[in-house]
Amino acid sequence: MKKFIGIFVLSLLAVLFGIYQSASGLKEYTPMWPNLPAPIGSEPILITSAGQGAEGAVTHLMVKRLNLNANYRPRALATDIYDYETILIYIGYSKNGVKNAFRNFKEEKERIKRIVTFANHQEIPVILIHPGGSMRDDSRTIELIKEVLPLSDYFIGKRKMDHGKDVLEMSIQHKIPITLVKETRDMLTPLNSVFR
Amino acid sequence: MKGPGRNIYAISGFIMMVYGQFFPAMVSEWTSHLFDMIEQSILQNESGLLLRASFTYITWNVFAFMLIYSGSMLSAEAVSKDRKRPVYQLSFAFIVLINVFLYNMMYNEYESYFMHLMMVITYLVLQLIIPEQPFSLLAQFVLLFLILVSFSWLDLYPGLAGMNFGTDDFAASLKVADSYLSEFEILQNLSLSFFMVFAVLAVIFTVLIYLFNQQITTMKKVQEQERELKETRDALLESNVYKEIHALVHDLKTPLVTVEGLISLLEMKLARDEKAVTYFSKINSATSKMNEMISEILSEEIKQDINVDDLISYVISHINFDHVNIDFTWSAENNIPPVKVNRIRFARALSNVIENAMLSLGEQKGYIHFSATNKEDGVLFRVEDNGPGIDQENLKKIWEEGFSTNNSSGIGMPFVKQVVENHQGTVRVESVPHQKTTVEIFLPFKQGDEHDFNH
Repeated sequence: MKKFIGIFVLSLLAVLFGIYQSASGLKEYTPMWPNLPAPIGSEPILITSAGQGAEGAVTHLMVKRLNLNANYRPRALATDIYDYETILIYIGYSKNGVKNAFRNFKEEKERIKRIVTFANHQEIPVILIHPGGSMRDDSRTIELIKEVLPLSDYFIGKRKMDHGKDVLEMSIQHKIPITLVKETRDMLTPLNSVFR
Repeated sequence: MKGPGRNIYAISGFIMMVYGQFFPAMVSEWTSHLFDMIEQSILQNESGLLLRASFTYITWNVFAFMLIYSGSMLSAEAVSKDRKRPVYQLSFAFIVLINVFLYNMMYNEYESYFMHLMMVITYLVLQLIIPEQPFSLLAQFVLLFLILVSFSWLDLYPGLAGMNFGTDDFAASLKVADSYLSEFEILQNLSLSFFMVFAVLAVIFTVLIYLFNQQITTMKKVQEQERELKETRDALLESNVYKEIHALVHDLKTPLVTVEGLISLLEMKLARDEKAVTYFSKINSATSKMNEMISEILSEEIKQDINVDDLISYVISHINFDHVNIDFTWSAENNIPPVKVNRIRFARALSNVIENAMLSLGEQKGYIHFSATNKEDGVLFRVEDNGPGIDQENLKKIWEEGFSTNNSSGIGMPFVKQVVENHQGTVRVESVPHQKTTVEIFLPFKQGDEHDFNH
């Protein structure tokens, strides 16, 4: 029996840990908007990344599928936005992506903040998209969302998010329209509503 | 585990853990390549490339954590050698989780503690079945590898995101990419299939190791039983031979009694013939000696006082010294009191030692010196020669019956030991090969005393 004591203690710990995680994370939030009632953006579109996640390219695929005129430039700077009518920002922090871009998190945050501030100044609509949901809602990704959400015009995210409540409350506070969907491909509808 | 062994485990474990922690930094090009693969698979809308990226991620992950887990295992072994003890189990879990914490801190990663805890529990449960055996450490490494591959695939299973499985950077990228490219069709099936395959492999491997060990144990038991059976047979055979000799010697008594009786009759009949009386007296003396010898052979306990000089003379008289190349000398101190021995058996024991020395010299030139010294509490007999000697490994085996370095029966030295111990004496052999070999037999005057050869 003695040989099972250690395993029993660890199993108990795992069960408690599992219960805590199930209770604290992953809640589904009802979307505020199924999609935008009227388009706010126009082409050409600049797609950039906040956090440099490799999966940011998914946004480019979506835009291509909607037959929109867009450029995918994950490392774009504020000075690059003159040629565009809409800024679409994919949000998802990747430490490998940031490292690959020869930046650190602080510089990345600063870059994206400048883009959003400059876009606001130029009255270019800023659309935030977060297809990662619970798969990509670590503290740094949430920090990026909190940084740019107040300055954006629309947020498209997933219903299943550990920090979904924070994002929802923030969007209500800053009166930012928000659409939360179940699957990544469901994002096509609200994204299309931005332009058509 | 003793000190040095424990230190080796601790140091090896620490080095492996350090390598594991620095692995992502050491393979930055590989890491960058993996990042590009994921990005390209999305941009090209290519599921095949995403599959390749998934396999590369698993390999990358297994490399990094295999080092960390193996290091943790060795470090836990340094804490407790017994893998079935709670101390080992808790130490292993603690070291792994500390490593995951450091890894997350160092690289701003989001490795799931829950997943690693589940992996540790799985490993600890399976390793309980693996018995301790010479290759058990290797078996543990293989088991760790299989569990690690299995759980790494589970990292990519989208359904477990809620339990914080696969929250690290690459796993998240792959799952988000797949959520759009195939709506999780690829990773859901692939990760679950590979998880199942490697989990089953881990279980099969553990069971095989267990069965293999059972087989080895059974084989060892059979071998041991066979050896014991052989020993019993040999002992029985030896016992039968001794019994026959014993019976034969015993049977010699009957004709001897007849000879003694008839000699007495002849002595009475020829009492006037002086010459005949002298002859009969010698014959009587010889028959009574023969009677004594038979009695001594038949009973080990029959002992008589004898002068050491007489004993040595008796021993030497039974040895053939025709060998021209051997310089045999003997000496005995004058003041040695008589010793109480079974003359036949003790003399035979001393002869055996001298004959062994002669055998070891063989044809080569050398010396044998036989001496007896008074040691106050007993007599020390010493036989010294300068033959090839006995190496240290064989020195331990000379008391084993059947062991011989010169194709003899191999019962000489065990017999010496048995006889000396029967006289409450002690025997010791020292040898420096090709220089000197000394056999010392101590025989106490008051039997029961033990002699310290160092004084």
